[in-house]
Amino acid sequence: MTGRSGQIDWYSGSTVYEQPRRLFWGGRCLEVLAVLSRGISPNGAFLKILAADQRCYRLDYDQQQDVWQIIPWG
Amino acid sequence: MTTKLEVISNDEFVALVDAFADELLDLCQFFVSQIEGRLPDTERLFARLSYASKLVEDLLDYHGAKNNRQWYCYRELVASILNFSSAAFTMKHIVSRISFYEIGADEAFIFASQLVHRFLINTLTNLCQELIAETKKMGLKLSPPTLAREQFANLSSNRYLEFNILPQDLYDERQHIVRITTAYLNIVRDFELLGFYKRFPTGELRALIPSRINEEILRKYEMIIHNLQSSYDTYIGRDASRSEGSTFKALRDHISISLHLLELSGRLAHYFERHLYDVGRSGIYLEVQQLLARLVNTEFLLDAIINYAVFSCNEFLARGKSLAQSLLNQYIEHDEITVGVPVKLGFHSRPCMLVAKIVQHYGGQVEMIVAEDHFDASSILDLQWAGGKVQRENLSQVKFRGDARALADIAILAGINYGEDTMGKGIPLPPELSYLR
Repeated sequence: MTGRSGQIDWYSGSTVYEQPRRLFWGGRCLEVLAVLSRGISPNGAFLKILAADQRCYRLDYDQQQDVWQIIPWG
Repeated sequence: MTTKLEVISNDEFVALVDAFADELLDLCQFFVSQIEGRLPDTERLFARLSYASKLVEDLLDYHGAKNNRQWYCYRELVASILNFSSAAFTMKHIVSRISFYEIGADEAFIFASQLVHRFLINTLTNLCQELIAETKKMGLKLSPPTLAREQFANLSSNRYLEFNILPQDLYDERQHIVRITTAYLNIVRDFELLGFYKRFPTGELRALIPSRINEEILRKYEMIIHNLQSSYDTYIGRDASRSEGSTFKALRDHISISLHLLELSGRLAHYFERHLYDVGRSGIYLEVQQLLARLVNTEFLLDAIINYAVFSCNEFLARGKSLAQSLLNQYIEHDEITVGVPVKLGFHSRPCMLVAKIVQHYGGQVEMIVAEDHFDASSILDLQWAGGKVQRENLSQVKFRGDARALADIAILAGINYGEDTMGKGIPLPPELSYLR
């Protein structure tokens, strides 16, 4: 799925049970080391993850548009 | 005698809809006015939306709106609100009760539940907006909104009234526990055969409904589980020792969550099949189907039905097996029988399979005892292993110990040489064992 300026590769292929595997962000492929938290937003949901570059990212899901966005976080 | 139908003029019908749709439209206006997170996410809101839309849907259907070009779209929007508000009511119940259920719900399930609930709310927002637009387009009455947030108080609570009714000694409770836990194990076995033990990628979901899973199958299981829960509540006592932390409470919770997930999936599968699935519609029917597909995220809807509701139902039913098994073994009548070994051919595949099927049918634990060794009689492999020992030691009899119901049937089976003649050819089974056919 396409993010704000990157892509997310998922394990399950199910939106309801999304488990991110890796991000393609800033020209690099980053393994997802851990899902730190999950939450619900008015538009859908978000996951906060720790990537292999030791940075945290927020993956925002917009249910109406059915798109995910990658946002560097923290 | 049937009443003769007459044509109603559009003006007359507009007046009727105006009179009946006031509450629904008030709720729709309230729903869309509560932007981003301000919506009172309560059972009361979804219940009111559900009954108000049901009333209007009935009015429309009694007057044939499904077959009328002017009213068809309006009718489909009302029906959509009815389906999604009913689903949201069930989903709200699940979300509110998860933390009270002793079902081992993990973070992923809780998150998925909240996400599905959010999807239902967002979809309802789209549908309410569209119904208001359609109301204006058709020149129907749209009164100023009257509802306030305070009118939708939350139903859920973590507070309980004191448990102050003494335990009851219900008639034949032991037998009912055995009956209900056995039924549970049989239902789970059948449900597992549907094959929803894994999640499916989004791209594969459209091919599953209605061919592999559909409203009819889901409603059938909903009814079966509902009956099971009802039977539990009628015939099994609820004294304090069976509340928090008990196997009884945990099993009841596994039944309950499965029932709610089936209610949800049945309702949503009905919606998909009736309103979104391509059955070759054309003209106005196709136009409205396409409108609904824009208002309802169909991919997410299918994901919610299959990967959330049906998959999780399968998971929770399966997890409840060990609870049902444990209660069953605790409450069944135990017995021991000594029976002959199958004449000539011994415990080869057919006798082992029939014995294992009997044990699995009743669900209670049964062992085959050969000399000092004990074998699980629900396992064909274990029985064949035991059969080898019987043959090596040249035994003519073995013992079975455990669930008396299964032992009674094993005794019948042994009485007809385990369903075969001495050449190994199958012979008819007696009516008591008809479930083995």
